[in-house]
Amino acid sequence: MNRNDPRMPGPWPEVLAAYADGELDPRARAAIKQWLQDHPEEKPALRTQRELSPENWPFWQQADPPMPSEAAWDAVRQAIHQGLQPPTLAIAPAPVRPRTRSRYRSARLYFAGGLAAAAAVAAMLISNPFRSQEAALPIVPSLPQSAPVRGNAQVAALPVASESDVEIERIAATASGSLPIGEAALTGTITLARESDVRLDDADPHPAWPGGSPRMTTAPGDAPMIFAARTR
Amino acid sequence: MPVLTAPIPAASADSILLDRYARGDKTALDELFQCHRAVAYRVAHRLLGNEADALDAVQNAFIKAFAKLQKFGGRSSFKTWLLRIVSNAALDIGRQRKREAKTERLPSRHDPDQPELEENLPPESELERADLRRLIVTALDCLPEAQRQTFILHVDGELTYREVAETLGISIGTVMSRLYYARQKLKSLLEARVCP
Repeated sequence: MNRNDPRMPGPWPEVLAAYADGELDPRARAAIKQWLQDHPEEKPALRTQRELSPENWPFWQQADPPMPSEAAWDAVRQAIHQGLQPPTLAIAPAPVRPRTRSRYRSARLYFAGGLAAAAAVAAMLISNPFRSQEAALPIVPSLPQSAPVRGNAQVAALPVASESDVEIERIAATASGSLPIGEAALTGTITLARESDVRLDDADPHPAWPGGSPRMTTAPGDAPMIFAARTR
Repeated sequence: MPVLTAPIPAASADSILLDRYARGDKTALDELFQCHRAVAYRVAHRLLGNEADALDAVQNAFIKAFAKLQKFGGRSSFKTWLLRIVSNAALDIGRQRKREAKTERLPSRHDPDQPELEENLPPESELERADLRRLIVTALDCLPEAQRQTFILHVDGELTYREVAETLGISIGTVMSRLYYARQKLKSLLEARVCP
């Protein structure tokens, strides 16, 4: 039997690892044993494999790490249970958290969202094709009268975030006399809901509706507005 | 009349516990943790070399294993599946630590204070045992990651060649090869007491 002998139960010399670990079946084991008897020069390689094999358990036992204390294990066990709990949403009042960038970003997003919604409402009011017709009845949510009025938009903004919710961490040096907040003004409307997303459960009769009931329609641009259909 | 009860094989016991856990019995997790924490810790400690990091790896691995339990198809034993996650978690932590700081090197070769590596060398004190552990961890650290993981799963994870192959998704021939060359290199590193 040579090193390329097909009866060799694995590639040589790697098969010595399996021999040292007792992983070979009896037939393969006998073949390797015979090979080693015929080739004593290979025995140092086998000795290395045996020294660092789990079969040399006294060596590895000496090298085993000491086990952690029961208190340490218990802390790990509790942390595992905690880590497997489903995430829960914070319920107001939210705990006081350190000032972080993520909070600033969240506030900025809400604030920008509020501005965007307000701009969308303004755009719709201005461009409403039914505006000049008395029969047109926009059904819009009433905006809080106390909300601050933005100079540019000339409409009341939805109070999504109050001043105390916003933390400004840095202002670019390019700011020239005014403080830019949020994203650029919208050039169009954003779609928050489509006709299919809205169901009208109840409506008071109105003389403008000859049929006795309103008809739902989308606003121009599929904007987040609900208009009664134009009377016929 | 005496009733003889055969011991439940470990794999079957794990299946029963996993089934209990899937049905909402959280104490089953504690029992599985109790069963496998020691071997998981040995693997993690051998890969990382210290208790704190090893416990972190064990903790992360158990959380990941139970959070993704639906991915455990039962094709292998829970132990082999868990040890794969443990070893990967430990390797992740090890990479992170390496980025944070250079691994402490062993004393230079031919240090007269260092004992010779001999088969069945019995360290007489815990200090010597700690030295031996450090020596092995540092030498293991010099191996390619695949060889190191294979070697530790076999020696410390007590996995057979077939189980190591299943755990790492490699052939038994590759396990054999990695172990052979890992030991050859470890032997020279341990005798020299230094990494190249």
